[in-house]
Amino acid sequence: VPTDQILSLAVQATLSLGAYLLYHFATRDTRPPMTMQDAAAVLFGKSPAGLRAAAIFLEQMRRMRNARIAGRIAMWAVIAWAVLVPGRNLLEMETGNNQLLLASTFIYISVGLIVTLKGLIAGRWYLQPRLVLILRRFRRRERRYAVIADNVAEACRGLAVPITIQDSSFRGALPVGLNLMRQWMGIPFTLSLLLPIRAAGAIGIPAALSVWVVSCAAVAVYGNRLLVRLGVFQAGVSEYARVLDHLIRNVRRRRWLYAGTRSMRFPDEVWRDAIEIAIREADAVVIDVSDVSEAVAWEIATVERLTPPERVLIVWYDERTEAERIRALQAQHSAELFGDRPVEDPVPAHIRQALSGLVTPEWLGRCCLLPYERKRGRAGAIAFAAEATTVLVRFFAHKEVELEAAHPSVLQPGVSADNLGR
Amino acid sequence: MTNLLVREAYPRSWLLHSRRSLCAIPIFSLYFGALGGAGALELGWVDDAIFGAFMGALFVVMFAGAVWPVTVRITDGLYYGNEDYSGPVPSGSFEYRLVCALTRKFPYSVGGVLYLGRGRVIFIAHRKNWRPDRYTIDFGPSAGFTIARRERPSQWYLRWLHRPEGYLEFRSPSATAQVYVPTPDAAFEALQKALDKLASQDLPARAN
Repeated sequence: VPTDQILSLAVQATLSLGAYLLYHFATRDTRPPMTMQDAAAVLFGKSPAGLRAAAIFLEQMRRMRNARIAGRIAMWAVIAWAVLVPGRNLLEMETGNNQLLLASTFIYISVGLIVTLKGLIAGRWYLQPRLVLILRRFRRRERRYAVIADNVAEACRGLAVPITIQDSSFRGALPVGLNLMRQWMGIPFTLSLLLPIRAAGAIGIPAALSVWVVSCAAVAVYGNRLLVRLGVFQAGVSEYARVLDHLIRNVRRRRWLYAGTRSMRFPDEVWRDAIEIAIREADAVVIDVSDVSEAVAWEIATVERLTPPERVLIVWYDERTEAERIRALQAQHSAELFGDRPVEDPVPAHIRQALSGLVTPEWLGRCCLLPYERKRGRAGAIAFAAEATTVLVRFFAHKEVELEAAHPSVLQPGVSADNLGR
Repeated sequence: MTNLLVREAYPRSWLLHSRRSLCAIPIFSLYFGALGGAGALELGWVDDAIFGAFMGALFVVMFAGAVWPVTVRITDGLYYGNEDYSGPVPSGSFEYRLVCALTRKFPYSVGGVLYLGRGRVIFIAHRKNWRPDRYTIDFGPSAGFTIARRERPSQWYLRWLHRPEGYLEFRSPSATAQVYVPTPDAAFEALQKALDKLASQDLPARAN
């Protein structure tokens, strides 16, 4: 490699790094606008349940921050390894196709390792032993109704694992059960060993094996995430209870990685029993009332019977555009500020009407109600998650305070309200 | 002291910058293309074009990604009244506040907070501004303070690039300024109501 070319690149890199560091330190904030402790106190209040909620909220913030830091450490470790070990050898090689091939192989390994390690660390840190049950009407082609699963999954990161249960009439998910796919996953991984054996002649045995290991790890992490998103845990009439119990126990023991909402599908004969078991086990229930079918109506009635309203979040699909929503919020704010018009009901009339025949107004008044947006992408999910997270944290705190009152030794000392005050 | 606009009216998303980012891509692409073609990398014209386009897009995406969290943090700090961002609250009694950007010399605007009280209306530029821009504009008593809604600029490039939604104009015997807020219609309505309320509070005080 010509020396002047390396020098030119080094000067450019140094200048860019210098500019970035200058920008970073010039815009650096010495103090955040509000500490997390202040935010928690403002959000949840000073009651025992509020303090518990603040502790859970801070724990979630800590987990998210640690996952980010660990991901960054993994990234820089891999980059340092890539520069010091294969990078140095590459510079010493003769220029030509072999050098290009090896360089691209090592770039692939480095990027794959970074992505996989970050995915593994984040997936592990985001997993918490709490369960959120999503109840909704499943529709195959109405993709907008599937948004709620993504939104709740975004809100539950570092807090809980969301699950949802379909009856066998719904054909929207993958036809193969997720539990079966996981059992047979070893075969393609074993067969893929043939690839590094064939490639060893061209790029060497260590490079070929590294490519294979990184590829397998990436496929395992992201394949798992994709399968959990698209696939379902299936079971027949005789084994549904075992499969459901197995999944719940796995969540409670923090097995596997966090991969969004997990779906289950059971035959019609046992579907209602499965829903009842899940409602009893869940720490919080999210009900999508955008489209109330007969099955959803039964689910709502069952939730009213089995779950205290302080742990129920009722959501609906908000058909307004962002501008309309901001206008409505501003009108409400103005009504509260100047008292020039009555404060409007935030729940649309058709949602109130759909729920009026199903649950009592007292029960509905004690539930939490939240709309979700049309956007399918991450931006919409983040907007919903910002509010839904605080709501879910309150629900978990409510359950934990109740549990603590009933069984004082159940909770770990790390999340007690006393620790927050110190 | 209450904010006149809801927090949701102020953008949280980096998409706010997307139009400007789109315009910046060809500019930075040309810059990096010129850098590549000037002999530093000895690239051919095809490679140079690809390199320039790629680096321009990458630079803008990274820059937008670095800038918007800072923008959101400053807006949060201003909105919730953190004095590290907004500076100390001016002396006197103020009932309302409005986070906005004020222009004394077009097109350069400075972010800050407008405080509205019966005795005084005052704009204070936020503390994250460049030091010479951390100015204060005293509009005097609220009785002499008027606002007007101005339509969007006539130039097509300013309309597309800069402020498509128009702006407000503040006038008082002591000062005049153009003010940018994300929802000028809502801000105009809220400001008008606030001024009416302040005036109605003022009347009994004068009668006494």
